[in-house]
Amino acid sequence: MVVTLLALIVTGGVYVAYLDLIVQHKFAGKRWALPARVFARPVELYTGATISRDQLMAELKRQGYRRTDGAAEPGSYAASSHRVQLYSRGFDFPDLPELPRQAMITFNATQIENITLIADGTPIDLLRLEPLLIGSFYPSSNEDRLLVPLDKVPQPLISALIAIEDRQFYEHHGVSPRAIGRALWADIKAGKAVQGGSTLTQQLVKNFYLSPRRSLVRKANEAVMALLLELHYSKDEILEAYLNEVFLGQAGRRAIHGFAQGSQLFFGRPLAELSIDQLALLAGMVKAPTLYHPRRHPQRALERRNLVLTVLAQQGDISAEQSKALQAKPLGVVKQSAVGLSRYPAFLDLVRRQLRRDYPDEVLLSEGLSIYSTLDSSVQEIAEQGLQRRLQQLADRTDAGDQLQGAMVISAVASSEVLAVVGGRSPREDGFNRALDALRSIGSLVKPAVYLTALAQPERFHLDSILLDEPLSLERIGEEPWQPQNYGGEFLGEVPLLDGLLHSMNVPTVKLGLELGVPAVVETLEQLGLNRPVNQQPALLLGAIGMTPLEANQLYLTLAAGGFYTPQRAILSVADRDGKTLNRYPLRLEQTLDPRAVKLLQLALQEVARRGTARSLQWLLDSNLNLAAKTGTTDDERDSWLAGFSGNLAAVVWVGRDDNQPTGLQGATGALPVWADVMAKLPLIANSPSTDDQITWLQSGAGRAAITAPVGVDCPGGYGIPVMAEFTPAGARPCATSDGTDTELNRHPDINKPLKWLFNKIPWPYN
Amino acid sequence: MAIQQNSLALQLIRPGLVLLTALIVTSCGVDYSPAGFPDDGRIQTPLPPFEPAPGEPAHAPTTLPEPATAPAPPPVVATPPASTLLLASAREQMQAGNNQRAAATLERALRIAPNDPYLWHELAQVRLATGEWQQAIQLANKSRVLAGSDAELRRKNSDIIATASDRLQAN
Repeated sequence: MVVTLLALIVTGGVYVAYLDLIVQHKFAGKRWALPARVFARPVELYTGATISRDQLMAELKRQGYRRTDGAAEPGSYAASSHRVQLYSRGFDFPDLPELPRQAMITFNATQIENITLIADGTPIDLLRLEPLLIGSFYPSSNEDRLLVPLDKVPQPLISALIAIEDRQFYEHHGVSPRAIGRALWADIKAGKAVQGGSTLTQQLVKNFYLSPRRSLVRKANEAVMALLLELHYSKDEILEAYLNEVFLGQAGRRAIHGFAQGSQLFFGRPLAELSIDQLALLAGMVKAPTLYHPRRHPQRALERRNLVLTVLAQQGDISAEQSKALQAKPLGVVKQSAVGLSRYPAFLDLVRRQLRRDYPDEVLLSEGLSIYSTLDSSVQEIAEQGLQRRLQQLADRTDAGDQLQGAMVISAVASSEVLAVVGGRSPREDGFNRALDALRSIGSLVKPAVYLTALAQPERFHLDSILLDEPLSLERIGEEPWQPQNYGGEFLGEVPLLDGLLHSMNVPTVKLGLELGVPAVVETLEQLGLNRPVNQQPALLLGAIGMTPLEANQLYLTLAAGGFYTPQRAILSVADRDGKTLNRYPLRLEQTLDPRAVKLLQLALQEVARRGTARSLQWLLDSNLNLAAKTGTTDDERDSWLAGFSGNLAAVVWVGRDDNQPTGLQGATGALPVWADVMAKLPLIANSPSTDDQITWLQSGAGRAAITAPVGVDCPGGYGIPVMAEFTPAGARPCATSDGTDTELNRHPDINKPLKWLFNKIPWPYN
Repeated sequence: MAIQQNSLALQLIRPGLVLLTALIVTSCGVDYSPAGFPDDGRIQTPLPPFEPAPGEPAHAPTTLPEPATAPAPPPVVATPPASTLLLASAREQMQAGNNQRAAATLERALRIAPNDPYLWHELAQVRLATGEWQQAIQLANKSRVLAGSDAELRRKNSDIIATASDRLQAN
């Protein structure tokens, strides 16, 4: 008997000790697997920033800012026709914290005219909005949770929660016999289970440690563990855990836990910005989140909220009048929540791939990392809309119809930061990401690499070197000889090197490439950033290389950056859950090409956009931008490409079909209008026309290469040939350089006419 | 070792600082207009009415004065370019020994003014201070290409390249 009793006590003691181990172990460590959160680059507001009032308001809407009359609280704004009054939220940026500020922003048509502090009218130099959350990488549990420390939880929420869930919270030791008794009494009176007697501590134990199974043993474990938890930890620690553990609803596949994320789910705003009635709703939902779901059961949710408000008034937390006024308010929940939504799946895909190089999945998906990306949400939105709209128009005009697809990548020239990635016509769907995964022949997009290889040998080639445009036949082992043709099937005899590029002529390009050697061209491609093995065949000179739009963008980034190669980046830095920076991805560059040769090529590509194959750009976009561009079309019009750049942005567009069938679109008729539509809406900086003192402009004659001379260079007819200064050919006559005031640039009357001569055999340059 | 590098970097920066300060001062002198600002610095210019938030009653805003007549043009306040301010904070961060933050701040400035050779030069200085000689050389080269005919900046970039190349060979 005694032995049995002793054995029972020992067993019980061991069991309690075992439970104690569980309680302490899980509470002491990292309590939850937290999703990694990816942020867009923050919007910077400053005098002269190219952002319109509407763009700012769109951004504020994405951030869940409320439009009010006075903008008196953080996270709100007011707007008139050309001003926005803003109360920013502030953000603890890894480099420099940004405090909440009340600012008045004045706009002109396209820019911010000035920003002042509301309080005293002093100018604000720079205001950084908090970064937009664009998506998360979730742990396998699919739990979505945003941790909030106790001191950041609004007091009314805590009061409401304790008032309706566990009035004796601060008095009991984990279980409340009184509450259990009262619940029992209520159940007996009602004849069914109407009230739960669980304390907040028990609820926490139930959710945090135990399976959802209902049993008597589990109930006993719950009580013991609640007592143990209270023994080891303070009320504040338990409350904080509860506030972050509690389940509040489902967003798609994600289970939303904790009040901070619950606030985002139902109100689209941070917890700190909620009003008392909104906090009361959240507190009221705890009891049965599905039953009181404010979007699905608004009436029930409203009644529950009002009950909580009544209790708050009874307790004296709020006055009776206040309670009455709050009860009259609508629920105020947002129609659709951004929680669990990945806004830009194609871009997130790129972020995930770059992160996988440095972080194993168990860290990426559970450590609550903050990932600061390079995405520019406004550029991304413009690109998505532009591509979608124009592809729809093109689809209506071609046989491809709904099969017509496209992709676009836009990056910043200076830093190779990827600003926007569009993976297809339905950019919000997480499907095939063409920008990253569609490996397509780049066609004539490769040609600049051929011409750059030549221009990098200034002792042999300049833009006015003569190329032979004659029938060409290359023997191939076991195959028919390769006989490249020009588009249009004509041969012109002699053409200047520049014209081969301007009009994307195949035969002169192949001849030039063979002269240089295919390996030399491949080396140039590698210097531009090509990072995959290629088949070194002559057909490569016409673009028989498969590349993704992202890779094609990299090549043109290096061209745009004057021969400085900077690998594309989608991530700036990664911080852990405490905000400590774990990893930075700084700007790195390497000069892989002669900047002067690249400058000459840039000038040629600018001319492509004036009177070459991409000439329609000059009518679609401001010609003062001196945009540089190259079209690409592959056999039977299966792929339509346009790659190009302004002084600040490099963008590439691909249009084609997933099944690789012809679309009837060339580079200039498919990808070009998409590119132009998007770029027209972006803040562009002009390409410099060449002020480099290492470039000399030479006079051009009839039938010679000719590039539009910049202001300040006085070439006859307005056209000249730029060459590297120390490689000026003997006998060449330089253009006069003026101070730019001479406007009598008598443009050559014919030169701007489209290339009729190529197709109609009007030998214009040769007459 | 580190101290020596810093002082070297500072010597290289100083003329640039003077030049930039001069630029800021001149631009302020030209553009600054106190019109519309009474002594307490508060904006008194009439403001246009704020449109009511959608779905909310269209009552007069409480925090903003009503316009009496057509709105006057907003006061012109000259602020130094945002990128220049970031350049100044980058220098402070660098002087406080926080080179990584300085680099991040300069990249932020480059987002605003991507073709400013002074920013590229400053980033080269940071890399010189962190002992990343190759990057210092590359960045100075980038600045040199953008500097155009700015002889002073060209010379300073050449200095960085010379210093970094020496260090590379010494290692």
